[in-house]
Amino acid sequence: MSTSTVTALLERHRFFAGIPERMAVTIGEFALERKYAMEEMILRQGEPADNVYLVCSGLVSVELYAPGRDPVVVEGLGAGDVVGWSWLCPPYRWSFDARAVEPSTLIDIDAAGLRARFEVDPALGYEVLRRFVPVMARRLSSARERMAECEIDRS
Amino acid sequence: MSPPETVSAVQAVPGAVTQPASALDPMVPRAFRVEHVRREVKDVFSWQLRPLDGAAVQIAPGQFNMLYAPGVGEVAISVSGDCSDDSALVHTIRAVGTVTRAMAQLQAGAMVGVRGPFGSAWPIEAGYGKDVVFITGTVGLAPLRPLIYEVLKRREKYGKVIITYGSRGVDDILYERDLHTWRGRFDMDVNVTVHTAPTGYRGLVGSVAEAVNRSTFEGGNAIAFVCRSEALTLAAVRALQQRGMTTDCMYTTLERSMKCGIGFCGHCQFGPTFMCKEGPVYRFDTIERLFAIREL
Ligand SMILES: Cc1cc2nc3c(=O)[nH]c(=O)nc-3n(C[C@H](O)[C@H](O)[C@H](O)COP(=O)(O)OP(=O)(O)OC[C@H]3O[C@@H](n4cnc5c(N)ncnc54)[C@H](O)[C@@H]3O)c2cc1C
Ligand code: FES
Repeated sequence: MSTSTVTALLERHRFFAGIPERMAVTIGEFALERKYAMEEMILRQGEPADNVYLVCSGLVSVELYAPGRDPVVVEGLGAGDVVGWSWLCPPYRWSFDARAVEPSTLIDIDAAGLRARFEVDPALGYEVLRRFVPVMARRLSSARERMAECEIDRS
Repeated sequence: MSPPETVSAVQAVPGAVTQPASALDPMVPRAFRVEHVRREVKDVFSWQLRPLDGAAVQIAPGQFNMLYAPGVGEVAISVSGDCSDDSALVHTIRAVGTVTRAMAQLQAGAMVGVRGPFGSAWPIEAGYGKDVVFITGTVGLAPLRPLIYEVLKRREKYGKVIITYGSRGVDDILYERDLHTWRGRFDMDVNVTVHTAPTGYRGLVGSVAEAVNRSTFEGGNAIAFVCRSEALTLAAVRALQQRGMTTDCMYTTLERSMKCGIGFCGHCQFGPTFMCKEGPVYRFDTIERLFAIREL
């Protein structure tokens, strides 16, 4: 798939809606479209977080792997969602698994390359972070809401 | 002696019934037989109750009865069945403490006492012409179910109908049969989200607020009925505000320990409001400021 096609996909994705064209083109240089079969692993807990994924279609489950028991699904992500932000924070390792639970199409971005680009293009870094921070905040408050509900339910 | 007037800036929901419909002394329980016990999910069961006197039962969606387990005690429980059936009552109870655990031990045929109905009702007609959003979690679906039945009976009077329900896991989804039936209808959206799930689960996993973010309704022309633990009500309110809704279009319930149910004892007082009379259903803008007062 050509860079311009991936760039067009990026611009259409909810996460990058309204991004300046110059930046979409730059990110497009680091991106490719990938299809995942049902049950295919996308990333694994503990491995280097050198990619970031945008879900275009399908369903991806974020799972917590625990030795000796079945994984636990902690988040379900669909079209318009972004998978993972461990690539933004040292030590750049995934803290969860992600698996396609339905045939899924994702945009796979070389996050290590993008991180290096941020050093020379801080405006791009700011634009991407500006979009990631609300995602992180939403996920944190979702986790807190669920924790609170578990605590209240127990009483 | 008549119950004292509460000095209150909090308005009861318009059209709500705030006194027991029964002409009997509201402090005297009426005898009912447990006709059927249904185990719903872990620690939660529903009773179908039939009055021994054979007279009609009257209750509106959102109202509650004081249920009495003989020799143990009395608890406030919302109606959870179809309120148009005036021959029986349905209540869904979670066993959490002394009285409700004793109730969980009762079998079909047992006798219980019922006082009520008490409190305000969900304002069914306030949603005419609007999208209707129900937001609830775990056992909070029980007080909303009678309202959902009623809205579906008058389906043509509403815009979109959306239920957003959250449960802890896939094993404690309340009224799964109802949710399944509703999901099969073409004229409503049912979003069930769970906190965590076993691998391979294909439904929504996440918080209720996130599920609200994902649902499609016209924030500017919608009414929301929220029934969650008070600590989580604000998360739902914020999610609705992000969708363009204002708090005068949101209705919610509050819960406090109830004793008399008729405004005598003060057990249910929350700031200026007695929940057994002006509540448990409130329009959110009338109680919003009370949420900010930590001492309450
Ligand atoms: C208007 C109203 C409607 C209600 N509707 C329902 C219903 O439909 N189904 C249902 O299962 N319950 C409902 N409740 C809650 C129910 O009344 C309480 O769970 C019950 O009173 C607990 O009594 P108990 O003796 O079993 O527990 P207790 O021994 O009194 O308490 C056991 C534990 O439960 C907690 N608890 C007690 N009351 C409440 C409460 N109101 N909310 C949250 N936690 C509480 C206590 O803090 C304690 O930790 C309603 C309450 C109100 C005020
Ligand atoms: S329960 Fe007695 S005043 Fe409300």
